[in-house]
Amino acid sequence: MTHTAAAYDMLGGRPLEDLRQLAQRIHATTAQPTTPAHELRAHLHARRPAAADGATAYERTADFLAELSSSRAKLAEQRGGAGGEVWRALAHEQMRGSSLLAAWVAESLALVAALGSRADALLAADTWAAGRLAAHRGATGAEYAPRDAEDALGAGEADNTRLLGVFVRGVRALDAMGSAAAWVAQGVAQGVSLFCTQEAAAAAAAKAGHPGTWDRPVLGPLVQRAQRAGATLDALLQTTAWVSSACMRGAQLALLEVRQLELFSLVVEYPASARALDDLRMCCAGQPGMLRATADRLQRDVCARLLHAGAATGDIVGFYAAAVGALGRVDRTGLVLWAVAGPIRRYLQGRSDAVACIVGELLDGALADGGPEGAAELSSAALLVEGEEEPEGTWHPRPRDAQGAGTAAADVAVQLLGVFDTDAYVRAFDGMLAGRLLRLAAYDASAEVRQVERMGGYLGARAVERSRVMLRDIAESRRLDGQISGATGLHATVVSRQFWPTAIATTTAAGAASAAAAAAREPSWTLPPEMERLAAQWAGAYEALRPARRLEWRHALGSVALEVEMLDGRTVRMRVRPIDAAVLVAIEEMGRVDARSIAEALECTDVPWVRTRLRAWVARGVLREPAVGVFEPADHRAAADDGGGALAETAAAAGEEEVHGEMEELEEHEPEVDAGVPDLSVHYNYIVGMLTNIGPLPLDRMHAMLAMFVPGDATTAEQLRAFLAVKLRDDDERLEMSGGMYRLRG
Amino acid sequence: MSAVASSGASLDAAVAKRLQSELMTLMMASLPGISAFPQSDNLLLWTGTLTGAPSTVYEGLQYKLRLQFPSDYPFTAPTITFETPCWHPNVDERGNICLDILKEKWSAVYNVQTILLSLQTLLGDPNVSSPLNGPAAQLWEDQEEYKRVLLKHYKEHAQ
Repeated sequence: MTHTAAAYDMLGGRPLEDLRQLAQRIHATTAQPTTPAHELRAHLHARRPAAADGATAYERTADFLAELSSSRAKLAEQRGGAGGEVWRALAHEQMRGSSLLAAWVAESLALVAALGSRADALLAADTWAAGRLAAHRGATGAEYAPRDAEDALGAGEADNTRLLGVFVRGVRALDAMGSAAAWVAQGVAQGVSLFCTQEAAAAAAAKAGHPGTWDRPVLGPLVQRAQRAGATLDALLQTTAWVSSACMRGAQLALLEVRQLELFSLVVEYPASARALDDLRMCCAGQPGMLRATADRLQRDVCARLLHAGAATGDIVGFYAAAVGALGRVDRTGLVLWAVAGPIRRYLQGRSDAVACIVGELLDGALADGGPEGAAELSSAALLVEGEEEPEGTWHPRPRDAQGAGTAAADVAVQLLGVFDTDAYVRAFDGMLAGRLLRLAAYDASAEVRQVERMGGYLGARAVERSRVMLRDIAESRRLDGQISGATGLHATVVSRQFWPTAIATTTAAGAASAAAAAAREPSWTLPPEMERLAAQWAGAYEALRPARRLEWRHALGSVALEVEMLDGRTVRMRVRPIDAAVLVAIEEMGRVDARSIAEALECTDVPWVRTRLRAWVARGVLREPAVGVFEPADHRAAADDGGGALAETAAAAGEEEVHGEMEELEEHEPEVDAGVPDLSVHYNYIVGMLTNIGPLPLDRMHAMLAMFVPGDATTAEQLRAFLAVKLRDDDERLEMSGGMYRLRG
Repeated sequence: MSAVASSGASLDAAVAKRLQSELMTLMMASLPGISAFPQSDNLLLWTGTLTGAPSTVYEGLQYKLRLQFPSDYPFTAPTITFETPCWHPNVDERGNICLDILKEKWSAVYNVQTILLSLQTLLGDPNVSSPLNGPAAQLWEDQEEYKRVLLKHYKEHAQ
């Protein structure tokens, strides 16, 4: 028995001062450790604490060993090597205060190793260092995480493996010695290694989940890695998948955390982020409550990052559309989508341009183009998911909103169209369609026909009836154009007053909101005689063909192709608004004039507007404004300011104008009002009555009540709807509708 | 009351016809400030809407009414109460109205439209000598103060 063993004997019940002295002595002794391993083992085994008094005894030992650790550091230092350095630093840290059970047991193991075998001493020190570090991190994780954790453990699989290797070698060394303390070592090793590997897995997960790795699955390889690391330890510690399963779980949770944080971006990037979303789904599977946590987290993100005044409506609608696909991938129950759809819908309902944006998204968004392809992708993903079992405890009833297991495109459409009632979309679509049809060149509406078909698919054939009439008007106009226009060079689009949006169809478009209406809102003015003659000629030919109808021109919606011959001889071709053409014709006749004279010539009362139109020509370089409010044709030959000279030249300032083609809007009055929309003015009195007294009502209630109270009523619900749709469109009525309920404006 | 309400199914055809034609008259006339309509499929129970006439203290204030017609209408007067709390000398806090044509002076020649017009008149021209609401009646002389109290009451109860 050596000094060391004797020193251990002396441990029991000594005052601390004595222990210090002992430490000094042991320090001297251990400089040349000689104790055979088997003696030490027997000794330690004998001193193993009984359950009751163990803690106190070990605490004392801890104090003692704390003293001792500085000598171990010196020993390690003599031997050199990084392990010793680490150990020393950690020993120092331990001296400062934290006296964890695991720490001192690990230290005692290091001591044992050092005493037992010179060769293994450093290795044991390394073991201790690793264990100590991990244990310490376990106690004060927050201090080290996350940078340190990543640096020390998770920077790469290689580092992680190296660390584990050191640890495992240490444990193995102890085992070889057959030390009595091996049982402690086992426990500590398990705890420590678990922590090490979990931490490492988490760090690896955080790394793997970093943006940029959304294009491939991360979870699978990560879990495999965690399992491999854990399995090595399991084998050494002779545990059954104890460490490895914990490692896998740790990795999974860590990745889940990363993906939850990223989910908002994942939705924005969808479908590029599809793989990352799959990871998220698999992370949530089998983790009770995780879907809900994910939903809550995303909902917060959406409210904070998307639903505020700074976000464009189109972006919000786009996000919503992407979310349908993306979140459907994460969660088939629709819970997550449902959590964000609610706030988004409520928010969108407060945005005036939301309807138009949604219609735009449905017609022109990625959805419209990649529809079939996207649908195929999703359905294959759905098949993949079918195989997985619904984990217990995560089942949620399918929310009412999450309709249809149809195609991706159909799902998106269902969600988007649910934000407002159908009539709002129909109105917005009609407005957009009207605008597009009026801008058509050569009556080619094939793109618009496809749009109407698509919209019909979303909203039902009935909803696009009006649109179909608009398309028919265009086709009819094309025929008329062939019959009439040849002589006049004027191409007209004849639209039916009943079916085109009010803003276009009525002369007083005040208060109308659509884009097409803005163009139509133009002060009244008269065509120059030349143009007027062409229009009259056209109208005459039309009325000869369609005797029962009358045309009303909408100059503001047309355009004129001009060929302007400049003073310098150049010829400029351009397509302009009719008013611009009229202004130019007028100035050609009148020479140098002010805006008021032009306005009088055009019989227009809005002089500032006429001046704006004149300035538009100045901007094009065709006119110039030598004095404020006075205009004359520009002469680019004379660069110098030639004031009065220009006046003389105005006669030659040939804004020679050829009415190449003029598209103007007109509408036809059909004597028989419209077979589709019956005159229900009596009913309307009743409707106002019931809405005044009962409050907002859905169509079917109104229809039922009318059937009951209006004598001899035989109106169908559809007729009523059509009639009310016209009422809704006409701004002079007090009727409005939202959420399927009709009401009167207060 | 409930017995009457549930008698909708066995409603006398003559009564139904009368009420239906009254509804027609009322709807087609669409007089400003007065309106009424059956609450549901029961012709005997209507909801009315009364708006105070211009240049009275009740100008623009809107009140909901409940009109319950007896099964022998028009031989008996309908029971009319304010659903919206109404601060008025001739209306009590439960909405009961003191108006002679609805009580002893009822006659079968009256109809919904005339009743509603009478009520609209009553709003701006109360009968202060037989009040159901004493404080309101006392305050009527001081139109400015009356309007202040009225608007406060309306704001608290009707909106």
